[in-house]
Amino acid sequence: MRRGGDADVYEVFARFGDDPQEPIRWLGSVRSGDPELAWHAAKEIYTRREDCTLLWVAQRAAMVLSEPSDAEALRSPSRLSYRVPAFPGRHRRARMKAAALAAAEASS
Amino acid sequence: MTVLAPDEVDESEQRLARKYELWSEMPEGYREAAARIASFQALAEVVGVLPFTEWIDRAPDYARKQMLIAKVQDEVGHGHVTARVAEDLGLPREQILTDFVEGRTNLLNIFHYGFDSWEELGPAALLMNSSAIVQFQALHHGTYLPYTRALRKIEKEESFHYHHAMDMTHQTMVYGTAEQRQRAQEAFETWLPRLLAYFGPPDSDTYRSNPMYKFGLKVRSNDELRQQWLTKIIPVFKELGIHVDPQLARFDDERQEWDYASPDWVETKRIIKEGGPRYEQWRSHIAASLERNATYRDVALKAAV
Ligand SMILES: [Fe+2]
Ligand SMILES: [Fe+2]
Repeated sequence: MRRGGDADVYEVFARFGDDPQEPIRWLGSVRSGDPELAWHAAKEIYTRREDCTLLWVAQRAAMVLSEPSDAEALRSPSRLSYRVPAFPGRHRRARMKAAALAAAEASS
Repeated sequence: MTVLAPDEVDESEQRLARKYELWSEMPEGYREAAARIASFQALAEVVGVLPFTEWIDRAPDYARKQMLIAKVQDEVGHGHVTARVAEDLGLPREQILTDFVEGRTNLLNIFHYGFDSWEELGPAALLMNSSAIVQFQALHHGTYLPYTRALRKIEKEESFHYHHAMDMTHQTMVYGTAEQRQRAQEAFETWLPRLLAYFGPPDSDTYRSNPMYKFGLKVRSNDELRQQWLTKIIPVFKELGIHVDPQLARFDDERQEWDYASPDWVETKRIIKEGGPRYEQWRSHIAASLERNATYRDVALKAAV
């Protein structure tokens, strides 16, 4: 991870349209010496066409951002395979197979 | 020559398949090249809008004035987003503007002119917007993602500029006097060669080894884009009632490509280097606003913590 840097850069996030389920999107950044002015700059620059229903700005310096070296730690399904829905089924089949094998060995 | 539509780009092509973010490891020279592309566009957006701002208080009706103001605001916004892309790569906007004001950056040929009549705006803007759209549709498939994201925002607004320019030309051609229609016709004939030159010199045999092309920051060759643009825009002008002299541009059915009057490359180079008719006016305008806003920049941006 790293800290964002540049105190005069604000990242811009927005939602367009009336669907509140729609995820908030990252659009880009603006440069400003002041948070409220950054919000106004974002409004003027990024919301000129579609209907914007939500607009956030965040000072880049206050953000914590992932880096390429974090990719491994962020990739859940490959690293934490026991969390995926197919895992319990595989687990059960392996157990049953082992039990069947043990029963077959015992009877021979 | 097979001409693909600009948005039909084969992104599996190796030089276009590898994409970069600001935080990606980049090949030697890539960062500087990406910064150059973004800063070049930022400057073009900001200077390119000045000929239009001159006409805001001369617009003949209220709706036209509103549309013109919206266009000018859009272009300044395009300057902001592309400047942000350059700034993150280490090239601050102050430097982009100062390099221009102090003569270290040249403007492409079309940004050296102004409009001498109201009737000139429509056809000139239509030629400029359509060429920008063709270029952006190709650049959209480029390899630097922050820049392609900026273009996604810009393209929506360019489509409005295109339709606005078409509407202006239509108004002149349908409701104008014979003299006004003549001015629109002359504007087309004056600006067509300028735009043909704007796409850059004919492809050399070595354009594929140009670093910009290899990095996938330049997506299509000059000739490919020029041909795509002619295919798109010439029928639009004909439809609007503009006469297209076959000497200026004509489609060759056999070779399936456009023949066009070769732009005056010597004059084009001279203008880029020495400045065209309005160069000094635009340069001093930007210099004056840089100076006027210096206090704000110093106080406000330095207050940022
Ligand atoms: Fe623009
Ligand atoms: Fe535009």
